Amino acid sequence: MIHLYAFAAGLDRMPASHGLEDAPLEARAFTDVVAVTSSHASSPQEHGRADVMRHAAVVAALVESARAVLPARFGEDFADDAALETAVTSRLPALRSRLAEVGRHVEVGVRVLGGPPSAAPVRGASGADYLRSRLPELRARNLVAAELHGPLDACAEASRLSPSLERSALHTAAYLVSRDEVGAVTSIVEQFARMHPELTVLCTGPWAPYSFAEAS
Amino acid sequence: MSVVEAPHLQEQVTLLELVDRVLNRGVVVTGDITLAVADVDLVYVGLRVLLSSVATLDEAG
Amino acid sequence: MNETGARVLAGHGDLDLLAQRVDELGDVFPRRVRADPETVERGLAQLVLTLIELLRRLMERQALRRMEQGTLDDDQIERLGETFMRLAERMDELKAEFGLRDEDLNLDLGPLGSLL
Repeated sequence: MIHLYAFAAGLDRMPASHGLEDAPLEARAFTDVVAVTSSHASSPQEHGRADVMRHAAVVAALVESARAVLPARFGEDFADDAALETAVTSRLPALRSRLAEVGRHVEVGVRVLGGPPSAAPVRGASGADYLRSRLPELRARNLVAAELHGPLDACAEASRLSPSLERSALHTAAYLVSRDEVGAVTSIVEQFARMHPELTVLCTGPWAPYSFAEAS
Repeated sequence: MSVVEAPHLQEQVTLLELVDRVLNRGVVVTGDITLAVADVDLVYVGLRVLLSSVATLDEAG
Repeated sequence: MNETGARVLAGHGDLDLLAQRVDELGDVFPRRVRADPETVERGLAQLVLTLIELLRRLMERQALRRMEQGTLDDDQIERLGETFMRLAERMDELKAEFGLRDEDLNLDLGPLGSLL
């Protein structure tokens, strides 16, 4: 069984780390696209937290030793070389294109929670009352879009928004930025947080470009 | 509270963000959603293909 | 977390809201590689309900925009409001039937993320 960690371009050297179950890391080249993998006796029925953390560590190490990295989703396992080759060669142009897009960029994650306390719609109210009760949340989302997402999107190479269906989640997004811009992005978030102490604002990173591995 | 006042919170939050990324994001080459029931692989059509038509609907209105 | 180099760059407000979910991570591990029929059904329900909720939110937002613009009369506001309220109630019932919370309906929908 072959476990896939990520695809890489311009891989100077393999990271010193080991993969899951301390297995050595392998590089399988498909012309200029390298699949970073490890081989195992069988596919485990269960994966534990340690496996997930190890996978993440390998991806992070690759970011330091390659020109571009496309993290693979955890659980991309292949029965054998042939299976991996079939899956990869059919997607090679797309993988190449995504690698060119992400390049050396990293990802910064932003979340905004909170907003109007009257989140739950009032039951038994009139239709008009219900609709009016939904206005504060709409306005809060518009505010975040204008004052936070707008400026962040402007200085980022790309952005990905997750439609958070929780009422208190006003904004969940990932921004693809160059490493030099991580500070600028953090400043924008900090400033927004200062202007809106009633909201919960979180900014994390830099991450490998997990959220930008698939085309938009 | 600012996160600098709570290092334990920092670690928890970072872990949460990390696990979310490793399990839910990243490129998928095995097929979009693959579930196996009673050793039979069921492959579902990619979610994006299914939903891209909804995106065009909204852009119009 | 140092092994990935990533960290919290900025964090303000009630971060305990997020931290609570870390406890729930215990349910994620160990992660089942093979699904049983119940998991498949729940996964499908999750998918379907997310789609329905997404559409409901989109339509509701449209209605709210028009209400703010003043292009709906009182009768329309009342009827639309009633409909959305009933839809929201039905969604709550469906979620409860499948044991799904709002957080479970979060799927990364790529390009559709900008719609909500």
